[in-house]
Amino acid sequence: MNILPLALLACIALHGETGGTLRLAIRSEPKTLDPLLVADEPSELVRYLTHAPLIRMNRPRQAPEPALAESWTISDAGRRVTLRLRRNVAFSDGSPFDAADVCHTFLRLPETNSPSAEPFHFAAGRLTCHAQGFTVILQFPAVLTGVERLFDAVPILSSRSSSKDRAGLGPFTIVENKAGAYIHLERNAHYWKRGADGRRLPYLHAVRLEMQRNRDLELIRFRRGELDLIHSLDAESFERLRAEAPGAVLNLGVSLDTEQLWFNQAPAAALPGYKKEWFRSTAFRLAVSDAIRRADMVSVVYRGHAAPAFGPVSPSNRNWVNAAARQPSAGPAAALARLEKAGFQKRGDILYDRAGNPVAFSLITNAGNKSRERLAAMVQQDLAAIGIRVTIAPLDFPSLIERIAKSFEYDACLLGLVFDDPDPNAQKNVWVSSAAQHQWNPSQKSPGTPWEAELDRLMQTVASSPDTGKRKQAFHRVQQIAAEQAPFVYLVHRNALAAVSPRLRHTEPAILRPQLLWNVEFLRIE
Amino acid sequence: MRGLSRSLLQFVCTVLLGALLSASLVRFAPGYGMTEDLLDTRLSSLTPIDPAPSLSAYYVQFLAGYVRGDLGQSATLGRPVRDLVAERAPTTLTGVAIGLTLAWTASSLLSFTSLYSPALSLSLTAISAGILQCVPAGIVALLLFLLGWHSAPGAGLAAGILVYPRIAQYLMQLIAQAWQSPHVVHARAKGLTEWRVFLRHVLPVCAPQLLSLLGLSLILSLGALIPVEAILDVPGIGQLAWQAALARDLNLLVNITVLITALVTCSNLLLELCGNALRGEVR
Repeated sequence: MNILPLALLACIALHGETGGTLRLAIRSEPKTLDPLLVADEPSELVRYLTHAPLIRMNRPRQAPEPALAESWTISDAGRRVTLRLRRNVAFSDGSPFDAADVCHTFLRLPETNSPSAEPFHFAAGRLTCHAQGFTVILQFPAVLTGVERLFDAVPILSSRSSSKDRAGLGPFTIVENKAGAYIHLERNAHYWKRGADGRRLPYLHAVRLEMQRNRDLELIRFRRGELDLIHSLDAESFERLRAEAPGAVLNLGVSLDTEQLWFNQAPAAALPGYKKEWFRSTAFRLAVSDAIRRADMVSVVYRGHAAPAFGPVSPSNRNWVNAAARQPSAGPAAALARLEKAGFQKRGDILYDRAGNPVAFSLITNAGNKSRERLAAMVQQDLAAIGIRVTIAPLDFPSLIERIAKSFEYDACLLGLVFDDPDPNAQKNVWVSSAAQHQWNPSQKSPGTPWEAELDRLMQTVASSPDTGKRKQAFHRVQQIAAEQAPFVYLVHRNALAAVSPRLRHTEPAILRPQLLWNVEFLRIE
Repeated sequence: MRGLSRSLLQFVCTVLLGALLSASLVRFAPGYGMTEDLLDTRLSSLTPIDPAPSLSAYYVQFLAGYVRGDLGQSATLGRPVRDLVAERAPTTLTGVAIGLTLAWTASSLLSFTSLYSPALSLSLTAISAGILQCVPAGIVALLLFLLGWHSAPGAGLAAGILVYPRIAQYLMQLIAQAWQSPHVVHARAKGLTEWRVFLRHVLPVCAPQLLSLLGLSLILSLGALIPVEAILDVPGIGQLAWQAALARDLNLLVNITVLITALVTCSNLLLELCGNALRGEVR
């Protein structure tokens, strides 16, 4: 008679520890479920939940940790990686995992067109993979600095499973994909990882990704208890939610992302000559930077949940930030003095250039992003104080991309950059003059200015030197040049803000994506 | 027979013209061929921008695909258009059916009250339709979301609310006019009951126009469902059309246009044939 209640209690306790469905929203449909082809955020999240890499980035520590590889060694100045794999691991369909799967995956990378595969784009046959039992030796034809960090985005695929890309080594597996509505994932019964108590992970029974494009509606659903977490909250929603339920919000700290504006310096741009001259003038760009009051942006637009940005590296990236290069803005008076020295003159409320043209430009940004629209309004107000008239033109994303990447029909643009890796290699395509993301003057055949030529050389060192000290020195100089030349006028680094249901336990928040789900196998719903 | 072939020809021409018009609008829209991937800092070179095929080349290719039964691929969702449409059509058709049923039922009930109190019926129609006509689709959708109706029936209810004013007002006018017609006045003078007059003399006169109104309400409910499904995140054709327009997904948008044009033209054609048959009977 006494055993029955005890057994019931044990069942309830067990259910509380292993059951539960985690529900969260994704803002668009994943563009692909092929784990090697993912490029968009929802696809990356699905890949993270359903597949596993050899080495994973521990997000809070920002350091690599063993995943499918128990250990690894890097030799030949970063060209050779020897990995020892875990034994008795199986894919979600039950097929066994071994070194052949690793070689199968890595030899596909050079032909795969996706951002995570790009560092492995070597000529055919130059990347070699040797499998010896449970040891794999990967030989790259060139130095890959921080190679173990790159492994985090490479999911290992089965070489022999009949369900191919669907068979994964991640904690969950897709059981239902209702187009446009939701993706339902259930725990992978073959998942290799075990908890401290020796039980097979994950603890959650299922994860349900609901497609919810509208952020306000996502917040309403969270308040109603229909969703368990929101990954990225804007400051306004964060404050509103904090007032209602202080325990439900999490401020993860300053993110690595940046918000910045830049002037169109592309020679192909159909702009009047005098405007091109302003935008190419370092004094002009620095004066604009000086006139912008970032502290006001932080308090008004982000309610204090951001840090003023004076360079490309967030202060939370302690390993790589060059504190000496982060010069606070000098204010409108200094901006005006700098402009006058460069031949501009303020008469009344209007600033004129040397030829008598009133200084005015349009600032494009993406429509619908409230924070960016407010930032643009504050830039407009700050620059009006030094006589520059700014017209704000919010555009929908495709139109904006066409202007900045193809037609170059714009004066200045306000946009953000998202970084998921603190390593400076993540910024390589922003600083190298031949890259498409060198947004003020993209895809140059040869560097247009001496400082851009220096940036190219420095980023080459950052990308190829096996010496961390040299890399750091080079990247510090990059930040110095960014401060001296102001090709980007950095505005803020926003905080990573999240909402978490009190029912969700064992979260270990991190500023790197997927911030609250990086240790999803350990999460529990009570 | 000749009438039928003319109608069929008209149907084919309308659908082809709709497709061409839609293709032209998307092809020449700013931002065509641009995706957010182009701003990915992890890529050193831009993913080749769509070389922007000429409109005529695209259209020929599109028609050839239709002949083979291939609707092509969605550029943004990376899936066959046929699958996307097949998955979502039942949701939207459910919404349309619910919306039309609700709107027509409410309008019909109001029109029946005209049998007993025409003034009250007219006032009720004017007030309810007037108020609902002023409420934008987005507000209706948001309200239903707050009430927890973010589902296909919820979208149907929203479509019903949005379509109701048009149906109710037109229906009431139609019936009011019919009550004034000489043969109805004559029938009432002869002492026939109101219900008998309504069923035997008013409804048959209104029937052809009611069928036209049914066709119109179908178009209106499909149009209403586009923003409603987008706001409520209901996975129907409306949501798909909204996404396709925002992402400039040429193939997807052209196929949705063809589908909606075909549906509307086809139903109008059928209703017209029924209307003609009824007119003949009334005469």
